[in-house]
Amino acid sequence: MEPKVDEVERSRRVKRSAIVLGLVAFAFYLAFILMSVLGFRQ
Amino acid sequence: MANTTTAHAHDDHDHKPHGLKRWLYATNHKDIGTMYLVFACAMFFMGGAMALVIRAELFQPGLQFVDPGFFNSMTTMHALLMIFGAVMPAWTGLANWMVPMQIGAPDMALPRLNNFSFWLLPFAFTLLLLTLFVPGGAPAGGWTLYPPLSLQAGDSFPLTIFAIHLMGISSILGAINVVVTIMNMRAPGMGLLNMPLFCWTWLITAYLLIAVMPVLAGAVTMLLTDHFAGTSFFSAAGGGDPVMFQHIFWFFGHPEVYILILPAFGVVSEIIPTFSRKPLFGYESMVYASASIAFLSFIVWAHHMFTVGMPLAGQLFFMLSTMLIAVPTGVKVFNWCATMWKGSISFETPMLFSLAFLFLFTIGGFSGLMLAIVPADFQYHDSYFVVAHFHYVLVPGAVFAIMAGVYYWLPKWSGRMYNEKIGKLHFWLSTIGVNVLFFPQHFLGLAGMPRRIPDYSTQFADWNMVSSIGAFIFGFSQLLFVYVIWSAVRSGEKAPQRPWESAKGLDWELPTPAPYHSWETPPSREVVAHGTVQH
Repeated sequence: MEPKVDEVERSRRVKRSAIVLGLVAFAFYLAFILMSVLGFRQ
Repeated sequence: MANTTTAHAHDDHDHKPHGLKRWLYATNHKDIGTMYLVFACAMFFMGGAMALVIRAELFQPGLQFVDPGFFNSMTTMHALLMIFGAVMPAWTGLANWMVPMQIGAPDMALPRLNNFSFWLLPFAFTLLLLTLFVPGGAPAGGWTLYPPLSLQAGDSFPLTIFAIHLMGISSILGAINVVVTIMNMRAPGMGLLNMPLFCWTWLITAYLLIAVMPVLAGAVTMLLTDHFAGTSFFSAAGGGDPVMFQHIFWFFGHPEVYILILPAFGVVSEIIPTFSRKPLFGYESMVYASASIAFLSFIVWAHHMFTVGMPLAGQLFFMLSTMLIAVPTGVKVFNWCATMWKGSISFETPMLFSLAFLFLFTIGGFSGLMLAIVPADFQYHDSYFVVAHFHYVLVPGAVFAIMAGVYYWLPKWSGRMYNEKIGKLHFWLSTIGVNVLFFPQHFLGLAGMPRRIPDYSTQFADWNMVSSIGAFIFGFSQLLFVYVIWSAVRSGEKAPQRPWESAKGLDWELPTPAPYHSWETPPSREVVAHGTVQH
């Protein structure tokens, strides 16, 4: 008998990690624009 | 094998939606994978037609068919279509088909997001292709979009920037889906180091995508504000720096090369063991080599821009870090050769494409090493040698691996065998064509022919003519590829349950053709143990 996968917990984990990865991508986007702004000021 | 039986029982009542709705509202990973692959094929032929315009113009010195502005548009659009429209979607299509089947998951973790990721692409490329019809013509400053040249484009500029944003969003969402699927949906008993290498290389590729596609998006957003909002990020007149764009672009651009090639390493690592009838040599070292290549790809970007000028320490750093990539790549090539060593090799079409990949990608790798040497690069930069180098990496590299993967998995997808004779004919015409096309470009570059020009000195005439003949052989032989797939799906011989007897993996434990809904019940630990890499 296979251990029963907790579907609810897994779907929560999926959503959580997708949001985190999306935020990481957005952070890269903003960081490079910000670096360019700061470099521009120097 | 109880799970296989369960999956088989579902085959005859798979509750498949029908008609247009099946594709518009598709959430099934196999349907979305098919759409990605068909889309990539369409873009491959459009980008290929543009390449033939380029090669027709370059068949002889002098201006033959198109004006120089349109020629520049063709080089720019060819690159954008092939990179973002053909190769990347083809890999995403293969990932959609194979990742859930290989890890024992019923679908991708986020099926609706998967649908959205795909449907962004037709809109993005419609916008991009519309630029061919706007005043001023399509973008013509090269796919690198360097300012100030790219800022001088006509009405095509905002359309191109918006299209690139859409492509980027699509890629990022697709990559997020792959990561969360692999990290959360693996069958019980399948550890990360039991995964097939295709999943591993795609996992690493997906992380690369998440890190660098936003950087490209940032760069083109700044181009947009420079053009329309009065900022001067890249305008020297306003206190900005056009070289900064190059740094940002190549911080994206070099990892992008590995985004295009890493999944190819995965496909070849599946095919060579199958047709050598031996397990893959050095599985773990393959995983670490892929991860090392991905890491190194972040610290080598400035080798694309040695000629803009940089401190000696910078030149040395970027030269040596670039050369370092040869180490993990060499590990991979060694492992593929060691896998074949004393194997019982047979030469079906997927294996032939994989072997051609191995030899010809290595040629592209070696010319890359030559380009990494700073003083040599001063000579080679912006010459046809560079064109030869990256086409060896991307055509017999990435494109051949995609074709190898399609031939390899087509029987599992469709339940039909392709015509092996025509498959081999396609292989030989492609391999001869691609070498006749790109090898002479090394000579042209070394002799000093610059890239992105519609006319050239008569001393370059002979090799250009040879190269153009190769282009037409290669281009038209791709029609055979479509014919082989079409005829296999329509009326091919029924594929046996295990079309390649030595193929290993959970994908091969499923019935043939793979049922519309597979692994609805996760495979048992015994099936996982039988179908995966064990240490």
